[in-house]
Amino acid sequence: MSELSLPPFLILSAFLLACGVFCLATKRNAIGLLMGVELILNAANVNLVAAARFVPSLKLEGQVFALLVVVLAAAEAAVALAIFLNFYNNHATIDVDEATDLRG
Amino acid sequence: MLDLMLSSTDRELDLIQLSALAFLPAVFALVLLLVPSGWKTAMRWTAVFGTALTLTVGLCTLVDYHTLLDSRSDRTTRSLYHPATRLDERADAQLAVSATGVGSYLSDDLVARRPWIPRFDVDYALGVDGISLVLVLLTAVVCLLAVIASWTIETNLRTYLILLLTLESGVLGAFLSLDLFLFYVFYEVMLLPMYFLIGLWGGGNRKYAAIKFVIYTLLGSVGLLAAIIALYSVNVRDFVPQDLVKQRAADLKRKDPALTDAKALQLAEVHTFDFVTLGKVGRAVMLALNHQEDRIQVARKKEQGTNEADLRRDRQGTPEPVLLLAEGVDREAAIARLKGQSVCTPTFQYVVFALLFVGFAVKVPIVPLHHWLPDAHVEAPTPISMILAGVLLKLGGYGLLRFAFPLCPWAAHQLAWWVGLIGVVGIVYGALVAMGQRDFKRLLAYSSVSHMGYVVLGLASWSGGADARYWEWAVNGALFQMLAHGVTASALFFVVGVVYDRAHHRDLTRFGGLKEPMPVYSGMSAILFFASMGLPGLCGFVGEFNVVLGAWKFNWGLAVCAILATVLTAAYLLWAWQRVYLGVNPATAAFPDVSAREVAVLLPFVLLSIALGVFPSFLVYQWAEPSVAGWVSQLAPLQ
Amino acid sequence: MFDLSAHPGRIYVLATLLPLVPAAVILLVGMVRHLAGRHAPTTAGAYLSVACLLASAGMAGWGAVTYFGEVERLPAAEVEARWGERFDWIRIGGSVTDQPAAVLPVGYRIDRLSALMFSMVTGIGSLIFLFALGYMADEKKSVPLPPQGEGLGVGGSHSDHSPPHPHPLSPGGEGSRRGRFDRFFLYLSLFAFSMLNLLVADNLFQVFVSWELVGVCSFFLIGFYYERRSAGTAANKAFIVNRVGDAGFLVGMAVAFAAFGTLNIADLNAKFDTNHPQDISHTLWIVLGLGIFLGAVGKSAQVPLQTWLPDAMEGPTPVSALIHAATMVAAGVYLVGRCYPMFAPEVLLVIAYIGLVTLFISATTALVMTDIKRVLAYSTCSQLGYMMLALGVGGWTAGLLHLLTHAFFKALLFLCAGSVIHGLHHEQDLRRMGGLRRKMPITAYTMLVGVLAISGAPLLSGWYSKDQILSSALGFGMANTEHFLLFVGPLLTAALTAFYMFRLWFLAFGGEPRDRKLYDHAHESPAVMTIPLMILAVFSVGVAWGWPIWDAEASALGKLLHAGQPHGHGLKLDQAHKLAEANHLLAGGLALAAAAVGIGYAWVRYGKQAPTPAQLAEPTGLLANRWYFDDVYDAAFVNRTVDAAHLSANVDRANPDRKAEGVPSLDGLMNSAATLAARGGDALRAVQTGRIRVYVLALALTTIGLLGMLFAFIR
Repeated sequence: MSELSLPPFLILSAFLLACGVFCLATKRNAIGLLMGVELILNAANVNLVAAARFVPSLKLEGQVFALLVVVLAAAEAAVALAIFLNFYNNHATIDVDEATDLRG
Repeated sequence: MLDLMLSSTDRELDLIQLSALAFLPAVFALVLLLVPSGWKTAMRWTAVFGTALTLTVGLCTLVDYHTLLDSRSDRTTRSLYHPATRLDERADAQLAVSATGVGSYLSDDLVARRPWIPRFDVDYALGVDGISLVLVLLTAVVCLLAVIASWTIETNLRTYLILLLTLESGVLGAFLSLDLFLFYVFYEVMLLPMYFLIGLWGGGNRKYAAIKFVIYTLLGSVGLLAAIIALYSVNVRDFVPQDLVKQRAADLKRKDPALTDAKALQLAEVHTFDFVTLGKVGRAVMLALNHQEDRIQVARKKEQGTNEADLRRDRQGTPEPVLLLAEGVDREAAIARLKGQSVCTPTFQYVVFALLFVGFAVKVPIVPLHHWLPDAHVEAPTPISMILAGVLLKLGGYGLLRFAFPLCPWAAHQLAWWVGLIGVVGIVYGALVAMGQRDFKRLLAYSSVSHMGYVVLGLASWSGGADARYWEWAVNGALFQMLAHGVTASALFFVVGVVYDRAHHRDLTRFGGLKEPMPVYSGMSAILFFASMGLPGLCGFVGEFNVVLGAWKFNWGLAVCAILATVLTAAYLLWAWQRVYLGVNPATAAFPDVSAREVAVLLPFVLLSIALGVFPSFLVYQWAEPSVAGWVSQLAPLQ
Repeated sequence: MFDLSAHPGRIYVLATLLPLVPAAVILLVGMVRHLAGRHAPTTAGAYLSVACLLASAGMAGWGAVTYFGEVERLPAAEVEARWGERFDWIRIGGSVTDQPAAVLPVGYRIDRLSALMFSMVTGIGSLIFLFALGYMADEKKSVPLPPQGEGLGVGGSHSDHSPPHPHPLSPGGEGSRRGRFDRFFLYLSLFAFSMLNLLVADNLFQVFVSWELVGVCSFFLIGFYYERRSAGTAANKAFIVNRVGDAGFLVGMAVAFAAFGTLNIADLNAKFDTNHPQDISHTLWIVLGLGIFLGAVGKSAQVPLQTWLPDAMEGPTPVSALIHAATMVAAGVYLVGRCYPMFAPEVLLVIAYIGLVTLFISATTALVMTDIKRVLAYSTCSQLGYMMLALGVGGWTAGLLHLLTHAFFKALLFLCAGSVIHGLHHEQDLRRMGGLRRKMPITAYTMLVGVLAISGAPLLSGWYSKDQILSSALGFGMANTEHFLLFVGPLLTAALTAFYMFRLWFLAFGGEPRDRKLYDHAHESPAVMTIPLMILAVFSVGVAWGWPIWDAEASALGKLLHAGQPHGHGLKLDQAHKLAEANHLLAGGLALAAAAVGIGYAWVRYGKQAPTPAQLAEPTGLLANRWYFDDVYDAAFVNRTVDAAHLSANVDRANPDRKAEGVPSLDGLMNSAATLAARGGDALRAVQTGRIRVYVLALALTTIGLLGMLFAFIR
């Protein structure tokens, strides 16, 4: 195997981001949305860790940041699930296309 | 500012007097907040007391103003005019004191100025001259009578009265302010109470009428704001006392010690919202654009006994100089600086004049922009219609007179014929449309449009040189027409209100025969109808006649159209009179005649319209005409 | 203030202001009483009015005697100072520019013409006020309303476009109204003040003010019986037609003010003393003259503004006598006489021809009228045409002499008609009268005096003035032969005048009664009404007498007037005057012959035998329809204006009652900006779907786009 370098990881991260955005944009199920969000966050994690590894001037910042992101992802998932639960209690469904109360 | 007002060494009585005149109604509005909800009679009497007190202060101001004019006037002429009592002279003196701290405030010159927002050169500046005093007194009288006419309002009485008093404060403040920013604040203050007054206490279509009124007026105001800011951007350092310029230079040097004194002086800029200074700029620009820069001269030191006649005699044969630049200014540099600014371009002048004109013309109203008026008048309750017709429309005329013409005289002169045409179109169109109405109030609304056309025509009759006296004649007529129309239109709206209270409709085809059961009411209405029609001996004639005579010299075609429109006016008013009062109608035979309260509102209007018609000079012209003379004397020689 | 030794002219000021006192008293007392709930009219105010006008007449008499004495003795400048004053009403300027102040003054100036006119107006006015005390007596208490269907008006006018509403009177009978006795004298007193102010005014502005004031008083008096729709319409018509004339007057005044800076009549006349006035171009001179004349046309009911006068007969008869015969309509002729030098030769020709057309058209219309007051109204129109014609052809003295004599005999004729109407309980149709000379002898024979006077019977006042008019016209016609019609027309019309006046007399008083019931209930009027008739008859006979009385040129009044004749600008005026002098007897003889022909024919048709049913039928045709002037005006002006008004109203704002007839409204146009904003907002709302997925997509695309732009810039 040739020497590992940054671009493949960035490509992987971009691919994961694209998947995540696609998932976010197309899923009708609220939990599916959350999966998309997780994908995006993990794409960012990959990016951060890879950057920390391959960019000389960075030491540990990337990893630390990735840990932060993990925590935030967990917190945000909890809040999102709470919102979806409330939504389910009011609308008897978690189809996000039914969530049009804020339409203009 | 408050401690300045009250400190014993610096007490300036006219500041207190003019502030009182502007803010007394608002103070009484606050007092009304304290009155318990159920005490309706107490609320009404408080409001009456407040407006009556305002009227009293206004009359005291009138007496003071007359004394001021009288003390300086030249006894050999029969006029009370003197250059020293002109508004801009008095305002300049105050500006010097306020800006540089040099000198002391005078208590009896009826101008008051204090710095308000120094960062933006905004001053709290109030002042009267004949023009604004006429309209201030009109406002005070009409608002007092409107409060008396509001006796039958029951729902949310306290809110209603507070809004009405706030409205009065806003209008009075607008008439009294000398600073463009302050004027704009008061101008906007009037809008919101009006919106609620029409929208909550009005007739069937009130929401539409209220929002229409607000949007039309705001549209004009936005243009006004743009114009004001454009004028603020002008560097007026050569037109203000040079001490102020030195102060600015010192400020610049403080911020940037690297500058030399001379450089700082060169870079110093002065901006202002004061319309007197901006008026000087406007006039200088007009001379510059007309290639008459050599007439722009530096003001002389005020010597004892010097007046303009002497100055004119000193310069026989040369075109008359106009003293615009402040003392101690280098004339050549000043003119070069003026020409270098964007204000000295035709585009700037036209655009700013158009913005100012449209801003005020919406309120006058002129014809394409008048559609808010019929709706607002018809849907508003009777007392609010009285104030709307009697007072608010005059703000438009006042704005044109005080701001639009003096601030951009060059553009005004170029467009004078068009402005006159707009006025005449308003007169004829308003009369024709009024004739086609079935609703009594709507007919009166369009008749207001028609009558205010005379004001615009009078202002536009710009004749220069030896014919300037005809322009003076026309502007005096325009001012008097504003006063007379305020009286007759308010009164006529109350007349409609009286009959609406009894019949609960305003359909002209269903009225008739009111003269038999209501003879006193018909007698008073007759006087008001004929006053509106311009019958000599009543107030409506004086203004119209003066405008027509003055406009003839300017453009005989416009004057002939205005004269022919008098036939139309008589036609629609007499047709309305016949449909409402004459004949026999069993539906109206049981109506009670006017009550004491209604007489209390109508009688002052009737007496005023007769008195103003028979004694216009004694009652109005002798103290209002000097201001108009000053106004014309500043603009006419520039041609 | 009334320092009569230095300013004897002030007696005229006092006489002018005096009628305001009863007017103010009646107004205030009436208002207070009405508000207190007492609605019956008082009578004291009426007596006060009569007394005040009699006092004014007395003062006028003293003033006239004093003036005519002084004007012979004292130099002109001193007479001016003693008999005229002015003060500034509005004074503007005079301090700023170097120009003198612009001033609108108020003042009075007595000269021969105004002194005579003042005495005439106050004299005739007093007599008419006295007459009215008797005529309007039934207004002192409640008056029954006519039963439904007889001309009741419920607002609107004849060209109202709304659908008709039926308004039956309640059967329980509110069939009566309050009396208006005091109000009548209120309006009459106000009118007296305005008219007298007009006479003594020394500047055109004051004349204009009084002009409009008499118009307003006329408006209220014509519309006195306002429960009748026709009365209200007639009042409106009078005021509006007069306003058209006033518009012309305003134009004339504006030209004068712009050119000369003054409106003072004497000053303006002085500027036109020569034949070539400076300071003003010939065109503007003509415009000035035409403008002032247009005002006179409106007020004196000349063609084309004559349509209001016959309709003005809706008012009570004393009103017709005072305002529409003797005084207000005379104001136009008076103005032309006062401003005589201000008229260019072309304008004088126009004045003469308009007078000619008026006198002919009105006389022909009077031939077929069946209402006693209408005949007299058209006769007034015609005689005013005579006066205008006389002024136009240079017969200043003739025209104004006719003005004075006409006032007396026309007032007499109207008051006699009023007496007849009163005696017959408000019957005005000539065809139902007849034989009344036996029941109402005083009325009949005083009316005969008046009829003879107007026909130009010798030695009566009308003869002197008509004679002078015709000789002036003959002189002018002979000097300017292309205008000979200006003599032939009046001559023929003199015959017509005599004819229709005697037709009136024979139908009313001659022959046998045609309606027995009416005749039986007829009675002579009370003394308060017949005494003025007799006094006026005496004046109608002798007011123009001079010595020798058979010489038409020796009229004393005529001589007094002639002394004050101003310089006129008519074509070949001097030659015309000489020819008039020379051919005086010829003109007089022809006039007498014409009158005789008219009287004779009237006797043949109406006097000798009872009129046939054919003669009493309802008249039709051109003459009966007043030469279709009313119809043409209605179609061309009134209806078109109302149509324009409705169109403008619809253009301005779409009428919610009628669906827009395809006309876009201006209001809609202005609202379209608002509508556009609202629609735009609605359209943009579609973007805010509320769906998360769409938002996410938008976010993603926006981010990509922004990044792309960023990278493009970095590149």
